[in-house]
Amino acid sequence: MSEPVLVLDTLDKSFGALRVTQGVSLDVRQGEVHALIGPNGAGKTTLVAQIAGALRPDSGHVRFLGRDVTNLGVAARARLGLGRVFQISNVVGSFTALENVAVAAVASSGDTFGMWRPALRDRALRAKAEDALERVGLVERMSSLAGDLAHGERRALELAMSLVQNPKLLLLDEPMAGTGRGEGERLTELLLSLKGQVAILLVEHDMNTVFRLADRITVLIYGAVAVTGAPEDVRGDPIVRRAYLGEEEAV
Amino acid sequence: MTVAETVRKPGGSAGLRLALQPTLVCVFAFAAALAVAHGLGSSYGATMVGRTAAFALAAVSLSFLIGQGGLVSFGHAAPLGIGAYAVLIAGEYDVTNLLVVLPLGFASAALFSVATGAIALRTRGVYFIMITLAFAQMIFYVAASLSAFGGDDGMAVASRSTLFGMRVLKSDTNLAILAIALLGVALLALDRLVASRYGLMLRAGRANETKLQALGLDPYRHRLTALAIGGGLAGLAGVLLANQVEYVSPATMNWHVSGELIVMVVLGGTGRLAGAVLGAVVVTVLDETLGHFTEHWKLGLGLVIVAVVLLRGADLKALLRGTSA
Ligand SMILES: Nc1ncnc2c1ncn2[C@@H]1O[C@H](COP(=O)(O)OP(=O)(O)O)[C@@H](O)[C@H]1O
Ligand SMILES: [Mg+2]
Repeated sequence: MSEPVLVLDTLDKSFGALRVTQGVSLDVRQGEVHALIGPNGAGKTTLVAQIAGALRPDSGHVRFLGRDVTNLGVAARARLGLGRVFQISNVVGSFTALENVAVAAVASSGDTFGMWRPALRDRALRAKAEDALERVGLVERMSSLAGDLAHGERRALELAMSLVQNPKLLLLDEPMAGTGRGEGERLTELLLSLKGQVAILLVEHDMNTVFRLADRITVLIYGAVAVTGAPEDVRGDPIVRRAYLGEEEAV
Repeated sequence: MTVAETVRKPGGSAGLRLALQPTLVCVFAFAAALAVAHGLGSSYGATMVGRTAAFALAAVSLSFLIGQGGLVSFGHAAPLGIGAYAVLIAGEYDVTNLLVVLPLGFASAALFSVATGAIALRTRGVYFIMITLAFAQMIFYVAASLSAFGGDDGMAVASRSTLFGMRVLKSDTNLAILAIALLGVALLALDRLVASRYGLMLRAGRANETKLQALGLDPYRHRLTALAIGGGLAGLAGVLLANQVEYVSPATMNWHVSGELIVMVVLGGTGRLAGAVLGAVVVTVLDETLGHFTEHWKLGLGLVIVAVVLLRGADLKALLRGTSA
């Protein structure tokens, strides 16, 4: 079996006295959807930030595509094929949806210094961007300013921006949060269609979505991995039921 | 609102024509003003048109940095002054050919902007503003110490620039034509640049640097390039101004001048490059008219600026942050 796309090796991170990541080791295999779940404040977003390179771990290593990237910055990791969809939508509000996707496409192309040809009149670039918008169901909205899009549409836009870059690993931090039922369903379908093509680390609260998509699930509690396993094992795990699923049912 | 709006219009010649419009309006307005001045035989009028076009060029170059790159330089008088000194110093070595002096003014100003920018770009927001000001003050004192070139007082240029010995800029009208032409070409080229792949990256970096980084692009080199282009164009404006007044002194690099250029950009709005042309016209015309009546006209200008800034509140906040959402 080939090497995992992503390997985290005993990552530790503290904010002052708060140990927000404690000895986290996990891996994401090729083509796998690996869900990361855990209560609010468990340290999921912080862990994603360390994978993306926005935060440096205090100790431990991040390996991506067989390469130690612990000391690489955000942009360098992204160029290697790491796509991130932020928990809070992160797009350019003053650009149209199409321009946003074009930014992503150009940023990952070899040519970011072309100074003469208008970017959006490049047929190939436009087609690529429109195709990505089509995949997330936003093609009708491509001329709208991203700032004017509905919350769920902005999530879809951010996903399109990642997809257009053909990432090797997608980091999705609660992509369904705040989306309407229809939008959430469409995003889930889209992620299902990506299954097997791209490795995904999915942080998600909605358990239905998680159990529909995930090949494996890692449960994070107080910054530490409580359990990693197949969905049915995790569902039955007593620690998880008590600390996490139980909490959900009690709500 | 943003240049994105002009860019957004889909391709085709109609879209292109729309994008060109503000530029054409600017050029025609200047040309018309010059024609009137020339028709009336007013050399003062021609001087004013040329001077305004030169300042408009400097303001447009700064608007490119601020509005498109999010690079709020408070030292833009420095490349302007360097362009002026290029005329003076080259002239002292008997080099007056425009085809040498213009590229020299552009290149020396661009070089200064890149050298100082490489350091200034390590900072953001208010710190960027202060460090660009500091570098401009440094070059101001360097200029003042050049005793061979007039020191504090500055000195007269040997002659206006020539074209292979022909004194093509002898008339103020010709000088104004050159200024208008350079302004027009700069506007066209910058419009093109802003819509290009490079421009898209530059603007995205201004609007949302975190996201651009997450998409794999660190816009440092794009910004440095922007500083070179903006600085170089200001250098061209400096070449024009030195020819106009036939005198160069450190005062060209005074921080007041940097401030006035920012005022032009903010008055005209940072969203469109052509806005800076309007700002330049307003400031130079006010300077020329009110300046005759009272030394204190800048108080009035200050009030106008406060009003504009209040009306553009969000814009200014973005300006200070060096970015916009
Ligand atoms: N920059 C920071 N400084 C201090 N504490 C932080 C910082 N970022 C996150 N935290 C804390 O770390 C903990 C984990 O946060 P987070 O990773 O966002 O959790 P999750 O995404 O699982 O809800 C929280 O208690 C949060 O308040
Ligand atoms: Mg979170």
